[in-house]
Amino acid sequence: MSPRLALLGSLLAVGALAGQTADSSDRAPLALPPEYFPVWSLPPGAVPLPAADTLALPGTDSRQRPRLKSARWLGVGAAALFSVLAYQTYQQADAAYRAYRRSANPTELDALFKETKRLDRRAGWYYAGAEAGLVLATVSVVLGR
Amino acid sequence: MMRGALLLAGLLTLACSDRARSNPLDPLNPVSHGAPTGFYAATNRDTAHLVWQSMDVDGLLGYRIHRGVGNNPLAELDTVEPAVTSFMDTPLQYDTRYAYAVQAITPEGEPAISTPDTVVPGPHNFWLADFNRGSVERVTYDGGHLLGQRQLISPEAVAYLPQEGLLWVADFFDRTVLLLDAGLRELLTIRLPGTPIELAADEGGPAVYVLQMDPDSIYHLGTGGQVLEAFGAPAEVSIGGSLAYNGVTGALWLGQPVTTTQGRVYQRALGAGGDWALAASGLSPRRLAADPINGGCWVATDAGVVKLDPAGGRTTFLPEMQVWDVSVNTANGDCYYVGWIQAEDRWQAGRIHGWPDAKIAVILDNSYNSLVRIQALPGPGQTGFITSQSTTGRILRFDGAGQLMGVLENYSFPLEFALE
Repeated sequence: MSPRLALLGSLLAVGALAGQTADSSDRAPLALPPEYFPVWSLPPGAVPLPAADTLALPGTDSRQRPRLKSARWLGVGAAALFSVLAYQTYQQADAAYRAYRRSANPTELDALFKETKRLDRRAGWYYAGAEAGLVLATVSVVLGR
Repeated sequence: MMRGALLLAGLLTLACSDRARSNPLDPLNPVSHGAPTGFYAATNRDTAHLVWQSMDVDGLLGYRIHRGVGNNPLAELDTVEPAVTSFMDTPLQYDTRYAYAVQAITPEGEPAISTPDTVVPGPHNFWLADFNRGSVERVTYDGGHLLGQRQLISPEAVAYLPQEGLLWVADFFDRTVLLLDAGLRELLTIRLPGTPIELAADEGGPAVYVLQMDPDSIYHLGTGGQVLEAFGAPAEVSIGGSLAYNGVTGALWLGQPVTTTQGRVYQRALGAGGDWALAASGLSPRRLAADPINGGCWVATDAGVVKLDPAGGRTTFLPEMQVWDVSVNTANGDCYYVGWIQAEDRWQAGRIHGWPDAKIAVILDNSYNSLVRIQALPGPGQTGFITSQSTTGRILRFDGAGQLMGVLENYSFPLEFALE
C-alpha cells in the first residue's frame, strides 16, 4: 500500500471516530493540503482520448470489423463445404454398408465392413468441421454487432 | 484445458460409426458367427426334422446339411435350395445318437457351420401338462427337444390314446376336458359339472376316465364327446386325489389322501355293474399306477411304495422313503419310483422289478434332488424314464443305464406326464 493511501485511510478512520464522539453539526469541515491527493498525468507526447471513448469495449474498434467479417464468411464457407463433404461421404458409407449387408462372399465381408467404418469416420470428421465453421460464423456475427 | 478436452471428445464421438456386423455370413457377426441361426433338430419316431432361419443375402447358392452318427464326425448329408429352411432325415435307427448341423453355400469362401444339435430317435414321445405355465407340450424321445406346444388356462392332467393318436387334457379352472390331435389341434371340448383333477386313458374305449370334484364323481368320456358312464366317487374327492385304470383287468383305482399319513385306495371292477371296494386304508396315496402285467396297483405313499395285488394283498417297499411318484413299465410290470429318504436327506430314483420276488434297483442315488414326477418307458429290462425336478424347473430324461440324455428347462410344479 502506498504511504499516501495509508495516510488517507488513517485520516478517514480518525474522522469516523470523531463523528461518533461529537455531534455532526459542530464538526469542522475536513481540509487537506493538495499534496495528499494523487496526481494523474499523461506520459510525454500522449494525446488524451475524449471521455466517451474510454467507456467503449475493447476490440470494437471500426478498424477490427473487416477481420470479423472475414471470419464470418470463412465460417459460413467451411460449414457449407464440410456439410457437402459429410453428406457425400455418408452416402458412400451407406452404399458400402449395403454392399456388406447383401454380400454372400465371406472373404470380402471384412474388407467391406472396414471400408464402411472408414467412410463413417471420415463423414464424422467432416461433420465436425461443418459444426466448427458454424460456430465460427455465429461467434463472429455476435461479436460484430 | 477442460473445454478443449470436452470439445475433442465431442468431435471424436461425432466421428464414430455405430453400424453393426449384421451380415449373417460374417464370422465376426456376434449373433450368427457366420452360420445359419435358429438351427433346431427334433425327432418324431424315426424321422429327424431340421429347421433354421433363412440368410437374407444376395447370391446364396443353398444350404449344406451335415450329419454325424454315433461318435463319428460330421459329414455332408445333402444340400437344399436357398429358399428352403427345413429338412427331414429318415429313416433313423432308434436309440442312436445323431448330430446335425447346417452351413450356407456361397459362390466363394467357406462359411461357418452351425453349432450341431444332437438328437436320439425312439419309438415314443412324451406329453406334459404344466399347470402354472398353462402349457401342454409334446417332448421328443430324447427329452431335449419340443415337438409342439399349446397354451391352456390350467392344464392339470394329460392322458394319451396311442391307437388313435389323440390326447386328453383336463383344464382345472376352465372345468373342461379337451381332445387334441398330435399337432395339438383341438378336436373336442367337453364342459364338466365339476373340476377335473385327474385323467386315466381307456385305450380299449377309446375313452378316458375323468376324476372330478364338486360334485365328486367320475365320468367316462368317449372320443365323440359322449358320456359313456358317470358314477359317484366312494369318498370325498380332494385336489390330491389320483386315478389309474388297468385296461387288462378292467379295474379302476382311486386314491384319496386324507392326511399325510392317512387315506384310502378304492378299486372298482368295471363292465359288470361293479361297485367300489376298499382296497387299502391306513396309507396316504400320493400317486397310483395300475400294473397291466401282474395286475393290481402300485401306490406312492409317504411311507414307501405299496403294491396292492388283485387278491387284496399288500406289500410295502422302501418304508423309510417319502415316495413322490410311481410309474409302471407296461411291457414287464416293473415299477419306477422317485422319492426322498428323510433320515438321510437322500433323493432316489429306482425300480422294483421281478414281481412277485421283487428286488429294488436304485438308478439315481442322490445325484439329483427334488425329483417329484416320473414316467417310465415300456420295454424289456431296465428302461429309460423322464422325471421332473421341482427346485430347478427342469425335466430330465435318463436312458436305461441311468445316463442323462436330455434336459428341458423353465418348468414349474405340478407337472404331469403321459407317454405317447
